[in-house]
Parts: sequence; C-alpha cells; structure tokens
Amino acid sequence: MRVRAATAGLLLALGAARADPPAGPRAEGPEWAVEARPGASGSPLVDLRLEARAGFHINLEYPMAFLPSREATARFSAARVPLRPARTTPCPGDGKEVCSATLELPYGQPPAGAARVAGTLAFSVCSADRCLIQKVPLSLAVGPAVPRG
Amino acid sequence: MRTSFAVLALALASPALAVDVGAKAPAFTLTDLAGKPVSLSDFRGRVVVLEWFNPGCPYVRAAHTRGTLVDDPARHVRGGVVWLAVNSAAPGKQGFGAEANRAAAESFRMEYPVLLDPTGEVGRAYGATNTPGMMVIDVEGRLVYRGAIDNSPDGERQAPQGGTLVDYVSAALEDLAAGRSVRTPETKQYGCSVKYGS
Repeated sequence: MRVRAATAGLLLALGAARADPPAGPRAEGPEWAVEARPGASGSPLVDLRLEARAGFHINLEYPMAFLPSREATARFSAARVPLRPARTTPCPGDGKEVCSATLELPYGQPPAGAARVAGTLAFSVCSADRCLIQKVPLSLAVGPAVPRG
Repeated sequence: MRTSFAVLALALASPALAVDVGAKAPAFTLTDLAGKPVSLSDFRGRVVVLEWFNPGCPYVRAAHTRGTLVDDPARHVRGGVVWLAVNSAAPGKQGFGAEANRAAAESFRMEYPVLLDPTGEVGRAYGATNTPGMMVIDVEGRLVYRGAIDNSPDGERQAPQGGTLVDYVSAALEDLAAGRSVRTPETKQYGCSVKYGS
C-alpha cells in the first residue's frame, strides 16, 4: 500500500513537472516578447505589446489574431479575433521594418465583476534568414467595467 | 564601368525582370533529390504547377500540414496535372541541401519531385519571391498564374482575406480545365522570402 501511494505521489509529481506553466500576461522567446496590459481606464481593450528582438522584425503581412480559450470569461466577437497594429515603432537603423507594435484587443465584459482575457496570440517575426510563426498563450485579469456617465 | 555592372547585377536579381504572366514560361533543367535531371520540356503539352518550396519555412510547414498543400497536389496530379516543387535556396541558406528536402518531402508525404535550384536562376526567372509561391503553366507552355496558394496568409486556411477561402491554384486549374482564361492570373505571394544567394 505504501509503495502504491509512493508511486502515485511520484507520478503526480512527474505529471506536475511536465505540465505547461499557466499562461500569464507576459511571454518571451529569444526573438520576441509579448505583454498584455489593460487598456486605458474604462475602455474594454487589452493592449498586446509585441516586440521583435535579435535582428528580427514583426511580419506585418501575417494575419495576427487572438484566439480566445475556454478559460476566458470576457466575451469576444469571434473565435478568431483579427488584430491590426494600432501603433508601431520602426526597427533601429532600419526604417522599413517594424520592431514593436501595440495590438488592441477589444472584449466584452460580464455585467458585474472582473473578467479574464485568456487565449492564444498568433503572430510572426522574421529576420533576413528565417521567419517564425508563434502561437503564444496569454492570460490577464481585467477589472470591472467602469460605469459611464 | 563598375557601377554599370553593379546596376546590371541588381537589375537581373529584381523580380520586376521576371517573365510576365501570359508569356512563355522560362525553360529549365534542374535535378531532383536523386540527382536526376528534370526539364520543363519533359512535360510539353501538359499543365504544370510549380510550387516554391523550403523545408525550413514555417509557412511551408503550415501549408503542408494544415493548409491547402495537404490535399491539393495529390488531387490535381490524379487529374493529370504535373506538380513540381522547386527549392531556390542558395548554399548556406535556410532549407538548402538534398537531405533536409528529402526529410521534409517524406514528412509531408509529397509524392512529386522536389527540384533544386541553388543558383536561384529559375526562381528569379519566374519571379518567385516567397515560399510557398505558386506558378501554373498551361498546355501551350505559357505562365498563366503566379502568386499565393490561397488567400489565407497564415498558410493554414484560418485567416482568409474577405472571410471566404479562395484556393487560387485550384481556381486557375479549374479555369484551364473549362477552357477559360485564368480569371485571377496574379496574386501577391505570401510566406517566407525565397532564400536566394547574393
């Protein structure tokens, strides 16, 4: 019995070690970083700030999108929300390419209480030598809606 | 004189000097992954599709594992079309080399030749700018379509522009089969840049 319990405990521990870490508001790789922040006060937007690093630039021709997950309690207009950069910054020394961009993700809030924006951001970054397509899980709690008027 | 040569070299590399859609498709002979020469003239009188390919390109992987290239080639080959992949990656660039191409062709279950164009001469002659980039040649040997495989620039058919997926290559082949001119003869290629040498 003790052996079984120990084995079960070990398996649980191994399972926990293998599980993906829970998504948060930030994620990064060697070539990119992304951060989700609540938009301006009262506006039902999340700003997704995307940054290309290490000689990479943001591929603006890729159809960037947010795919809400089951964990999301905020409401979205579609199963795949297309995103366009609201603001961009050129790469240093190369005005043709963009190295950072802010994507505005609109959402609908439940009538009362806080909500969770959760899902996957799909984007692409490229260098002169290669392109990457990234699908990054993100999750962010957003505050209750500010009553208007 | 040096400046003239530099300008000439730049001009020759420019896609603007590639063959026009509607003109005779440039002839070529390239080797497949087994080293066997394959010429466009081998397929005289048949409709030929050229697919610009790079095994390291994530758009190519997406198109071959989740997108339009999963089914299109086999379906059209069954219908009598010749389908050839062409890799114009230069030595040292992403996707160069027979072994990487062989592994990818096997993984993607590509049952058609992958031709190697390490000088990029054929790619430039056709105006291939991206992988996957597509060309269709009609039975008279004219280039009748150049562009993207479809209108979903994620490569996986999930983001069609305008909301409805359009498979441009299938549409072109259907037009040819019906004896019509290709209604959309040119679209913007999407995906990775072709890894030409300098």
